[in-house]
Amino acid sequence: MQKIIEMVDICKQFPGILANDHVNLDLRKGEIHALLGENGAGKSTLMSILFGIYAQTSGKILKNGEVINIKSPNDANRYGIGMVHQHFKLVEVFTILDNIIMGYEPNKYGFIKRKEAKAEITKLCKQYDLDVDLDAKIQDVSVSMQQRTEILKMLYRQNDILIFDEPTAVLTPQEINQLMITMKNLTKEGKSIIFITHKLDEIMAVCDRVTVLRRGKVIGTVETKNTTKQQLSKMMVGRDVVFNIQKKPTQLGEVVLEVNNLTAVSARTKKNVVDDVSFRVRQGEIVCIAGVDGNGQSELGLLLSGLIKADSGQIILDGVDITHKSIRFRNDNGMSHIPEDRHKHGLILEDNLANNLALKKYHLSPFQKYGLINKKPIYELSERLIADFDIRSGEGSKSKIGKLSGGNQQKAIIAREIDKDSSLLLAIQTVRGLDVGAVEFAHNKIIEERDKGKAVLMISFELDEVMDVSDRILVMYEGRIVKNVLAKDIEVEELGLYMAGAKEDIVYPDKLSEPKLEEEEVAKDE
Amino acid sequence: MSNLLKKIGNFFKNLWAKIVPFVKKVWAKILPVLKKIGKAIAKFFSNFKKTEGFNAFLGAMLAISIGLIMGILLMWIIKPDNATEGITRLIKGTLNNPNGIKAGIGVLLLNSAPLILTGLSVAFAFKTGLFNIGASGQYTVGLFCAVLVGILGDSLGSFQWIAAVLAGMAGGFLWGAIPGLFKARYNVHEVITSIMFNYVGMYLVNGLLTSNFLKTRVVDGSNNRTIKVDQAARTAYGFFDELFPNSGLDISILIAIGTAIFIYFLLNKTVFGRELKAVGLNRHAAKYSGVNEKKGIFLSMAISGMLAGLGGALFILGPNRFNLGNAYAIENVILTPGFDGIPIALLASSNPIGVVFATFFVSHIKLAGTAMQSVGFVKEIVDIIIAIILYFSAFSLILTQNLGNIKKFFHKFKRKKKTQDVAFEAKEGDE
Repeated sequence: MQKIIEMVDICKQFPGILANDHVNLDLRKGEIHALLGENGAGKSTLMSILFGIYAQTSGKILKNGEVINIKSPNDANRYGIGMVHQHFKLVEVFTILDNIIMGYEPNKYGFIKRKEAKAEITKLCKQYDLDVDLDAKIQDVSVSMQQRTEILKMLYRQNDILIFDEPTAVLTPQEINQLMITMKNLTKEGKSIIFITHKLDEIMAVCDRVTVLRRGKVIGTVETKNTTKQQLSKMMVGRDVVFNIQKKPTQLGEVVLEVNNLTAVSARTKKNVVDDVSFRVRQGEIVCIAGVDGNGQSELGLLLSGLIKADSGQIILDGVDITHKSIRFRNDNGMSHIPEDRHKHGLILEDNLANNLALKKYHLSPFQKYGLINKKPIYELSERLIADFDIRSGEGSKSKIGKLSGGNQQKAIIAREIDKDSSLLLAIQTVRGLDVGAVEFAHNKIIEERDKGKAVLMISFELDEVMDVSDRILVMYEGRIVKNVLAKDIEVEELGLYMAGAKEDIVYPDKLSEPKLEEEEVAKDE
Repeated sequence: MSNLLKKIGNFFKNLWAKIVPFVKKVWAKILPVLKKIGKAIAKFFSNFKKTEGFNAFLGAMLAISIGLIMGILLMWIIKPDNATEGITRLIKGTLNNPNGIKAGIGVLLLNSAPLILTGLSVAFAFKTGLFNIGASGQYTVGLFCAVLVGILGDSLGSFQWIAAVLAGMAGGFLWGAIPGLFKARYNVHEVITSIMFNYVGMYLVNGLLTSNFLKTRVVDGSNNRTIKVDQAARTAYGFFDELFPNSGLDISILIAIGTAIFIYFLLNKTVFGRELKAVGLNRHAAKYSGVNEKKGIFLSMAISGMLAGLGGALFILGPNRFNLGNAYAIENVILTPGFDGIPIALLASSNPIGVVFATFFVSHIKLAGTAMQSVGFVKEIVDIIIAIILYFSAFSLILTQNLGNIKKFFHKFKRKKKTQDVAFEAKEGDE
């Protein structure tokens, strides 16, 4: 088959780390080619080189057999290479139409010819069966429609090589299926797709071939039909990965976190983003809040951690009312918090790894004495956590954390929060951007905490994680909790219906705050 | 004749035969020591090279050189005839002092003291993520408070000087605290408030000085200046009087350098400083980690203002500066030292110790500016040079950060000349 893109002997050197080490990749016309690898394996770097964000240290890129020189994303566009980034690059206050034509507006004497553009895009929508409302503003539409907007953007620019960077991380199962169909449609029309993902099921479902990267090197390229999930994960991690997490039965203890009628009002829309939410989390259980992104889970996380203030309601941690306590009080009195946004909240990117690992501890003894910082214990802590949690970096404790790969940054946060030894672990989107090996590791660590008698409250948008790890699931839809169920009592499909708002058990707050029924059930099981 | 030549030849041969083993022996002893020294030096430099401080230092040097070269070119264009003399004076700077090197250095240090403090003020705010353009206002208010105590605080006796200095710091603290409060509580950008508070401060001070109560007590009506502060309120000469005679240098320079060291210590070694820096680097993460980020912003601005206020106090309390005495001229002009703090802080990459050296440099060429006037150059040329340096110090940081790439570029360029393209690519791949 015709090779449309070839990347030959690509090397990329960053200070202290060789991110791509003689990587060869070829993309055939009309195929979906998966790029699989651990965090920091060099997938993003490789795609950034193809898309013109970085320049390669050495090696060359060929399109249809000719060497091309991609210096910027604009060059990439000119060569027909488009990319859907993990975080969409859209203007929130523009309509979908304006976002699609942005930068390539068809115009006459400088006036935009919207009508023609609209007609053209409508045609594209029909051709590829993409459903979007061209006149809606980005801020008002769902995440999956935003993603379709990104796809249309590439199609409108007549790109024939499409890069999808972890596109399924933000979608519900139904939406993921839709995206898979769309991708198949695209290849039928002669487009070629590079698909970055950590989810092996998705690869097995749609991809033709898979290239596996490990520590910057290509381990191999295999045909999907000739391989298995186990084999792929072994190639990726270098060892066997256990897919089914083994958990001991729950040993419920005291109530650690009690949330009563918690409500927060959005400043912008004046709606209740968190609407009269009540629940309890006990020692030794993992409670997971499931739901599609944007249904108030993020705000709930911020409320519990103290980053935003509650409008009404009550949060009780270890018997202490912390509703109006400071963040430091919460940190020092039994709350660990893996934040949703690691760059905004979780890390000081300009600072080094050691200081970030001690971010919540430097004001405590022995890290300080008489108000003076004591460097030695900070670095000792850092070395220990780097070893225990396998945080990979260029220069160890002294590396700037902003230069670590996303997965290793996340590992650093997980290390810091678990090491804090708090009674409650609030884990939000813990495994976002982690590879299967690291996910397995993080989940095992969290389950370990639960077995030690910690209470764990997870907030996750990824159903796999919800199903694998949690003991009890709370489904959140439009700020309310619409379902409270033990994980073993529900199937993924049904959960998806609750998440999409298609189904709802009206759960009264009083009933929720007394989850006795379920505890008895658990007891019976044991 | 040939005998003589032979004798001489033999003599040298013998000498050679004697010298060589001796030299070898000595060399064998010296060599390890030299190697050790060499290794130590190399290690020091390679360690230093890795630090960001080195990059910043290189960047500053680059900016200074470009600024000076541009300045020199400019002088050449303006007055080719006097250019040589002008340039000499520009480079000599401090050494232009007619009373000799010692006096020159004294004057340099004397001028530097308040500038170090305004530079520290801006640098401290930078480190905590704030842009304090209001150092001038804080400097003026600090100066005013020091003047009041310096003139009206007779009853304090020998404590008058300390009281005046503290009053200056308090004034600056207040004038920095207000924009800090606005920023922390209402998220009003500190650049806007602090720059406006320059004017508010200046007009307020001038207004108060011309009020009925203060007019008669503090102001010398004949030349519209404040009267000189009391003798007890003046900064002591210390031993500088003998060390740098005829310069008027007082202990203010010690206070300034001491403050720089203190601020360095505060920012890098204390929990408090770490928290402030965390707020500067990532306000959200600081909040998340439990820092009260609003209090941090407020205190950062207030401390920054306090430093500028201390600068104002040290300026006005110093003995006989510029033969004008310790007086503040009541004019509707914003005092420049506050603004000079900005290029100083930038040039020093906001490093408190770097601020001291950056200030010495700025004072040095400012003195040169004064000296250049007598050969027909306006001293504003120095301002142009500082402006160019300021411009390039931002730019040069980018340059030094990409030093590796630049080296590689030249490397490639050389290689390309020598070998064929194909061979070059193969070699690059091997690396």
